[in-house]
Amino acid sequence: MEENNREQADQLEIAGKSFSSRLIIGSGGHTNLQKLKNSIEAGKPEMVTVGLRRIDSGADQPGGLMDLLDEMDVKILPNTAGCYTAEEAIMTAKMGREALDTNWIKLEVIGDEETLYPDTEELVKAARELVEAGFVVLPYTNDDPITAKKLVEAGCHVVMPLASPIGSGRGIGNPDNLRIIREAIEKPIIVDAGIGSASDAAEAMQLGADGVLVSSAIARAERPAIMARALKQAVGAGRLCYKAGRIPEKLYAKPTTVMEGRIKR
Amino acid sequence: MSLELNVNGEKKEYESVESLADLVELEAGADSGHLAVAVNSEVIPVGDWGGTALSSDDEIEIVQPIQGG
Repeated sequence: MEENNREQADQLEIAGKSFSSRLIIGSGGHTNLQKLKNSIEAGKPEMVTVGLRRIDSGADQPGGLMDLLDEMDVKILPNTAGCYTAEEAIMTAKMGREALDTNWIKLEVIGDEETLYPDTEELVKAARELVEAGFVVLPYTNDDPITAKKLVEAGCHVVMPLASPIGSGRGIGNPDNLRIIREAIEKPIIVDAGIGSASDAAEAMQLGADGVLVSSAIARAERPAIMARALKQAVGAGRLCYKAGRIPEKLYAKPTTVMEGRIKR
Repeated sequence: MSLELNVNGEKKEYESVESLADLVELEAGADSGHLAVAVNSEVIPVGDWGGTALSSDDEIEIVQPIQGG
């Protein structure tokens, strides 16, 4: 109960909306909806992402995704995954707003298929136009402080730097940059992409991220629901660690038991 | 009167389609919840589908939410 009260007091605020959970789950990759449901129940996210695709495009999946998400009472965050240009992303965002009745968008504008790294030029352009059109923009970006600042200047409510490439599970490739981004911007930071394990999620939070967005690490784990629970705990632990203020690292030992008064022979 | 439309990137002939609502019903069936539709890059709100007439060579996009990260 006390723990719940503390969580209530430490809420993540995005565009005037408060979240108790700092774990956002991507609905992609789960091999069936029951597994997705189990992961959501275990990870307790308050926001879940979905993609948008043409009907009858081969991307069709068993129906019921929206029924499930409605039933789970999570905020649905559409993405623009797969878009290569600002134009495609803006169009997809507008379609998402219509289909899902939300002006929130996880903005992705990718540069190539191998890395799925963002095309930051198109990303910033799309962000600017979408903010202008009244969207709450959550942009997936690389771990570059300069782009992060440009996205904030463009009016984004959050910045979502990658830890490492999407789906790679390689964890945080450049912790220094995440620290610099933390110092460079005041908006919430959600580390998105590349999280593979609980320690990665905890590290992201310890570096000062306000949340993490995880898809593959849960969906492609051998036991997704258990991984979702692990990540939930890791995000919580990492957050507390960040707030606690860790000790500085030293090369040499420093005792906590005073040396005075010890037995000497 | 037949209409040639470009629907989700594919050229198709339609015999009995007049409005956007007709087309969506034909393509997506009755299960049209959570769809979004654009005509020539302009997103059309669901309430306007019935009143949106289509002309030959219009480009239509019909999308739905899927699992994604």
